[in-house]
Amino acid sequence: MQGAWVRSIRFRRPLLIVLGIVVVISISVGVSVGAVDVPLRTAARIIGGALWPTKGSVSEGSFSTILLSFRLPRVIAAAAVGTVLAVCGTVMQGVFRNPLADPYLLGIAGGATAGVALAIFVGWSHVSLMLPVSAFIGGMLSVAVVYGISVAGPTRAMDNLVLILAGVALSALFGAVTSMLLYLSGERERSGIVFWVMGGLSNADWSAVRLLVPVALLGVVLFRLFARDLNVLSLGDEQALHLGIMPANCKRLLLAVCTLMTAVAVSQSGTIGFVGLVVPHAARLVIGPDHRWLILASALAGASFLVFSDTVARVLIEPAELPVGIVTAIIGGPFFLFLLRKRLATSRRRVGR
Amino acid sequence: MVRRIFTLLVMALIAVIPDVVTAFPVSVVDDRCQEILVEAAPHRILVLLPFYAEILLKLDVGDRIVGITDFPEDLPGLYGIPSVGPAHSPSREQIVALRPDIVFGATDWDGLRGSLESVGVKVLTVGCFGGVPDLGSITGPADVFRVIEAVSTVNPGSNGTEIVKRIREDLATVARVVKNAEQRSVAVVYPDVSGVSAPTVAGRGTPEYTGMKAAGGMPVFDHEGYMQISFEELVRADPEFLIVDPARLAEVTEDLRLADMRAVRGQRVCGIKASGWTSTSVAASVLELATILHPVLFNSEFLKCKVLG
Repeated sequence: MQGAWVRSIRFRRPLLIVLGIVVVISISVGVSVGAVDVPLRTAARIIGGALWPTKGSVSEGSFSTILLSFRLPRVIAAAAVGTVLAVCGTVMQGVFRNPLADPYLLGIAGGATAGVALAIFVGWSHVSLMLPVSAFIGGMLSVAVVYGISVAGPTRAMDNLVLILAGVALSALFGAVTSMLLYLSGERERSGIVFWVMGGLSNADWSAVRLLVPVALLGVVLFRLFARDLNVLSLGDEQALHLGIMPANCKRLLLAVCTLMTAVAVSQSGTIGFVGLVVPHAARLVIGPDHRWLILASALAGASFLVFSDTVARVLIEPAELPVGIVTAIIGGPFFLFLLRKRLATSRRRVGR
Repeated sequence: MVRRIFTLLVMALIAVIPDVVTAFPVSVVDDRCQEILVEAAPHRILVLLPFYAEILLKLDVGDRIVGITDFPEDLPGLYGIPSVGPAHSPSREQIVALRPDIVFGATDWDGLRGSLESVGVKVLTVGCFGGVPDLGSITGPADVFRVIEAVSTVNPGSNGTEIVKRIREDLATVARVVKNAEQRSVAVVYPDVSGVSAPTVAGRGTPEYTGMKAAGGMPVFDHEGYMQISFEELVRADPEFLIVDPARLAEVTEDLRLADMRAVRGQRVCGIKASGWTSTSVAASVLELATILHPVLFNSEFLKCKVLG
């Protein structure tokens, strides 16, 4: 079968190693390339000097400030956000058994955007941390409502279809709220809301890194522990029950962790699209559907994809910057079309056309 | 005798080298009501808003500008100066790479000011006190004076005081002339860029509103700040004069929805640059508007409105 040789166990470990190397390369490129190019050796020297300060280490002037205060935290934050979005997308696609599922399925993006729009509209944007907190609260609120609707049936059991539809409906509602706030806002507020919606990491600093990296790492570890359960869930709820998994409890936990992780990521970076949708598919193409490998592959691929996209966003129209969400959409959209064509081609071959 | 010669020499030095003896460090209050201490005269200045660049050029210290943002209009004297990106989102890396002694015009929008200050870059943004801190907003001539005085304080030897004095005198002259004049209804309108949505008008607290009042006009829109209003409301208000940015004049005069407005029919739709209300040209803008509103008082024949630059 096409691609089967790649997915054989022998190649999975080397593939993960290769993905790890790709992450390292993308981070290296990310820290040295930008509006101000910092030679890789200089970058290594600066980072080494910061990690292991010695007597006589020489400051590299503005390169040090640029690298240590702006670029390095931004690149690390991009890697962490990419990891979060990719693994959450993988988990969502596994839980819902839906290839179109992404981390924003349950309305997090809509709720977070509405929260930020409201904060900007009422003039709280200059209050420290108000925007990330508003985004977090908005996102969590949206998911809480969606979940509440999905368990409102007589059996109180979580209904997948209701969950998805409620997420879509709530996204539309919050979208309308955001549009209204956009319309009523002044020009400056309007551009602020729009830029936030497009997603960006220009404001990422070490405090964001200290929040994002532990969340990303813990999430990957937790989802890896539940990888077997995700594999079983992909067979269907009944099968899962027969194999000793409580599907409702398992899904509840996985979705809760996904929601929390995505809300944290969105609060720091805005809504960056396509990472959570496309990266799991790309990883699945390469390493197969077994979540024991797929989670790790998605994490690494997501990290390098977003770091790469952020680098492109920084340099394409320098000194101005594109919102990174535009770059991920430009890359992700065509790739998704490619995946659809591949899927159609595979289906045609199966029915012998 | 020797002592006298020595004293004279010192006094001559003081007169010739103001940088050495002027009261540095100086302290300036910014739009957050925080004191910004400037230890020495800045020689590398980075400007993020065109208003500050215009002031620096007027103060004859434009040669110290090492970086700007993408200004909407080209200012003579700034050709060849590198840009650090758009004003709403300049590149922090490029700002730091230019090693400025001071950055004028960085606001709290998108956390820019905080992130620059956190790496030791000195930032000075002066505007209306008690206003929205992240806008550094200019609401009228008083804020213009505050900015000019602050910028000239950190650039010793510049003629900021003279500039402020001239603007005050010009405004006082206009005020004297229009004091008892009949107030003519006027509105400053900014058509929507897309052409689909309603226009925005300037209300109370905006520099346009202050300018209209100073010119002896009666602003027909009295709400707070800039507000998007419906076309019906604009037509209902029907001011005698409409003031628009010169680049957008045609959008108003050729808009069929506004054809029945008396300002349009009477060819009293006039162009005054938006930047004119928040720059050292504020007095000139007020004077031109006053001349349009009260041509007889300014010994000017009534003209079809011309574009003012």
